[in-house]
Amino acid sequence: MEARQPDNLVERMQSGDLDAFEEFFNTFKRPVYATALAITRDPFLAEEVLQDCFVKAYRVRERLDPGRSPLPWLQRVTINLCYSRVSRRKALAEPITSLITNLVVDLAARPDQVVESREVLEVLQRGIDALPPKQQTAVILYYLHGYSLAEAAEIADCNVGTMKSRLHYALKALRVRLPVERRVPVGTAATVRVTSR
Amino acid sequence: MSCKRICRELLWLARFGEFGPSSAPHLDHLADCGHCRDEVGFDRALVQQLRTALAQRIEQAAPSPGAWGVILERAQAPERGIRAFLHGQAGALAARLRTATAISAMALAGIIATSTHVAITHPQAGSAETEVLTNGAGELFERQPLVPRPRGAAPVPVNYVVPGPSDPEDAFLVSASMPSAAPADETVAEIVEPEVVETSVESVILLGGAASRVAPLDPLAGDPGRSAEPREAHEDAAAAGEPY
Repeated sequence: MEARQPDNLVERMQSGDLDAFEEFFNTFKRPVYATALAITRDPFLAEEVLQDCFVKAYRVRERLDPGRSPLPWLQRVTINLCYSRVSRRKALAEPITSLITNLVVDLAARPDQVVESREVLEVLQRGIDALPPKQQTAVILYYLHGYSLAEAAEIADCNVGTMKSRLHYALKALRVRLPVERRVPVGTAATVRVTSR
Repeated sequence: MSCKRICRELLWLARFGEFGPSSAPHLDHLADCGHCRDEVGFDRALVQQLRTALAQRIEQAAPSPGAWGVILERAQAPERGIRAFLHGQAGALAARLRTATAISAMALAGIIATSTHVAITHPQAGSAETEVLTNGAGELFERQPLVPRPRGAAPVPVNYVVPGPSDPEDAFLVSASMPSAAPADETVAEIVEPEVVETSVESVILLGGAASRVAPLDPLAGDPGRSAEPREAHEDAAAAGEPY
């Protein structure tokens, strides 16, 4: 999911061209906003993060490398801004979140609760919120934005093995949240792979 | 390899699409093991649901139309220089110092106000010189006035209460010698502590010769009736350097 960067966009922005800056904003605003919204789940907070991110990009435009896409840098700044803001609100929000999470898990454990995709998604949303920031970032970059492992690792400032490990543990944590009754029996894809050998 | 380990490795391979020629044993196991197929299938379903859940978070997500205007305005605003930054920091520091000073002054005043000597005694023990007060917990306590002790005053006599003698005859003799106000069962005797007199003892130990000689200072040396001539030292039984 790479936003295409017009030619010489960063160089024009570095020369103080405000039209180039607007083009820069329009090119990268969606992935940046999506990341901010996926982490914060608050449109107002996500917009604040978006503004801060692009204001910072304009102020440090001289340091941007014209030969590389600025998107990984923008994503990294966005992630850092998000977590610095989320951590300020965490003390207030955490008890309610954990309470709801427990309720959802308790309800899900009841056998009379039928497998419903919407409920599974709810459980997953809570599970994503409960992940540690690094695992949450990995999940958002890899599964939401569709970055490759190498790109996601570059944005998260770690190596590929670490990124894999974070994804592995994130999925492991999400798996335990889903009760056995809700496991959708999808074994056919693996079987097809085996039979096609 | 155990089924559990193969299953773990299969999950890892499937998640990151890393199946290759070396994965043949894993795939063979997968073809035969229903449990592993369920696990891998569940993992794939989980990833699909995860993608859907993440997409739900940002569906129809777009910044507001006014975002660009705000960003442009903020980007063009002059950056706060180092002087403005330091000025702001200094202001904040001064405010904190003011608060800290006020709190310290109040604490000091409180300490001074409450540092009088307070002795908690029985309420009946209050005398004319003391003041019986009640604290916040409803307990009575006695506050004694602070009277400075005069310097250079004579030593204060100390009264000791001693029990009376157990022998009835001795008790009669003691009570007869005491004033009539003293109770019969105990005796109050006034004892004035004697003044401490500094004394010093000077001695000369002479070592050498066949035996040690000790020549104590003659206390009567200044007496005109006595001879000032040194007396002959006597010989010690123990040799010099020997233990006693």
